[in-house]
Amino acid sequence: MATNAAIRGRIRPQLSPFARFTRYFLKPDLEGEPRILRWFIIVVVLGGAAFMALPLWWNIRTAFLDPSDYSHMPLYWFPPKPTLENFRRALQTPNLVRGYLNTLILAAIRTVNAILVNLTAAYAFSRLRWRGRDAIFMIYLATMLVPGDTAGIQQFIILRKLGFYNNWLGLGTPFQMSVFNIFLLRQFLIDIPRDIEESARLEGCSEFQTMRYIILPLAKPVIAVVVLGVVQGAWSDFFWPLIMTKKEEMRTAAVAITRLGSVPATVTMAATFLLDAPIVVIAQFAQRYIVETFSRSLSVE
Amino acid sequence: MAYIAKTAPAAARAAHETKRKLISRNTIVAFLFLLPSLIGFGIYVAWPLIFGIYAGFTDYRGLSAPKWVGLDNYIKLFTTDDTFWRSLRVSMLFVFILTPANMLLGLIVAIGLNRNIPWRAIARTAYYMPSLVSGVGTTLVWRVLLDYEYGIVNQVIKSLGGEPVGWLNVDMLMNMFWSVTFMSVWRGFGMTMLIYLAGLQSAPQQLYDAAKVDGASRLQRFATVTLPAIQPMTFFLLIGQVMANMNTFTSIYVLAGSTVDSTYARMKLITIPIYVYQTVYFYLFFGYGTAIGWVVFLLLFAFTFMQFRRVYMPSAQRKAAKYAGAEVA
Repeated sequence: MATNAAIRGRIRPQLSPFARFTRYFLKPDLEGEPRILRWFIIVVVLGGAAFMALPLWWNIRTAFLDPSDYSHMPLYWFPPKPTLENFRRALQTPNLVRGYLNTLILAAIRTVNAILVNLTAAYAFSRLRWRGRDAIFMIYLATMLVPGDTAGIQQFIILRKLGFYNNWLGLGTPFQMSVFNIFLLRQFLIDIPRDIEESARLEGCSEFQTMRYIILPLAKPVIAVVVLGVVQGAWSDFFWPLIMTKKEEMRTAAVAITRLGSVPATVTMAATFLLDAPIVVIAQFAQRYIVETFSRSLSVE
Repeated sequence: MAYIAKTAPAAARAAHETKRKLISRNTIVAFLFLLPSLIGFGIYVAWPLIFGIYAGFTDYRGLSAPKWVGLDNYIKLFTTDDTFWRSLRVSMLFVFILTPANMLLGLIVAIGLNRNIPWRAIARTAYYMPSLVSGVGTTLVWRVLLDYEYGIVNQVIKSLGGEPVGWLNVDMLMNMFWSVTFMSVWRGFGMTMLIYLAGLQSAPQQLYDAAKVDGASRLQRFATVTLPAIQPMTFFLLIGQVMANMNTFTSIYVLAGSTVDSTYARMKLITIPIYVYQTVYFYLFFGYGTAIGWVVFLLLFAFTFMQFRRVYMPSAQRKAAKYAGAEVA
């Protein structure tokens, strides 16, 4: 046997396990890089991902933890007896329930707003031909020179004077345009070939019908990104709801959650879980569009 | 012949008329499409901005009417207001630490995730998730993690033989500062990573192959192919990060454990937005607050202007040119 193998040249000097180990890792792979590099990257990237996920896991773990187990030493990594008690207590807080409802309303107002205000504007700036189009677009863009902080102070003063304080007019800010969203939508819409539109026009589509049945279906990815951004913004917006509302029943969930008073940390974590879970679910559907939209819209040659 | 000579100008005029009518009809349609955003532009942008320029020169607080005081607000701001300069220093510190940290970490992780490694999609989601969920929620989670007695961080420190640290002690400013910094990096670099990933995926593969054939080392390939390809992303992110990190508010406000408005005094780690919050939204010093806003505007103007000139304007114009070309063809 041994001689057979020796004749075929398959016998190698006996290596120690350590040497075999190093040899494996130093051997180049198909890309011509030592294997150890690939393994190193895998370990670092996945290890980092686990580290990033740890606080999120801690949120879930604490939300399902029995309040009496919270102070147990050493700390539990898994809730020993998972319970929904914290969620029950969180949902029994009237202000918090009202807050979730308000957040939903806020997200709905802003989504309708994004479509009604930003999409129509982006459409006018990209698909329609009219005099002064690029000049007005430049004026819109120029307002981005004023940082949000500065603009926010002035908006607060004016909206307060207008009586938009403490109600949906100020909190939902209907008709507020987002220049960045108009920009994103326009960059995408302008790339759609004109011929499609011309043939729709020949078939007798009106301006609005063209937008509704021809352009909108094509612009789905960018609309998904904008809507995700708007919903996510409404969900996690803290500063604006904080300053624009005083009445407890106008507070959104993000604000109400910081004003729970003295409740166990487990209840706060349950409330946080309820706040963040919908966004995580929505993002799973929209994530693939985000990379696509950004690589198209930023001036990448 | 006579017939043609007579009618040609008329036909041309008629065509011209139709064209003019067409333009005006288009303008009306465009105006209708633009109307909602024009209303918003008036109420939420133009009017506040114009009024804001005036308000900066007035003594205007709470319910009283604005009273013209000239440059008093600005003089006070630049000469006697120590709190403002302290808050500016803290904000700048956040900018100088968080911007490079978020961008470098984002780039490194994006390079790692751009390779074909197992569980890539799951890892990408894990990195990206913290920047997606609400700032309030993440801060509350970190309050549990950094808790003096029952927090996992102090637990780990203790098991390694160290002394537990009062991370959330509002009286120990540096502890608060590092807690906010660490949390902001954890929360901030997922988005940088995602945008860099988009840049890396648009880097042309044939250039890498050519560089490889020419015998360029890994580092040379990175410097000559990757870096130019992601340059627009770097620029976009740099400006976005500077402005975002200047505005560190939610994490400090929530970490300080504010449950009622009167605990604003507990926020000793004062950044620009925290100072603005106290001045404008808590004490209702509108005139003075507006002046602060304009100074911030001037400080950031270099960045917003560069962003306007290099990111928005060129891509807007390039697309417009492309569009015009398509029209001719």
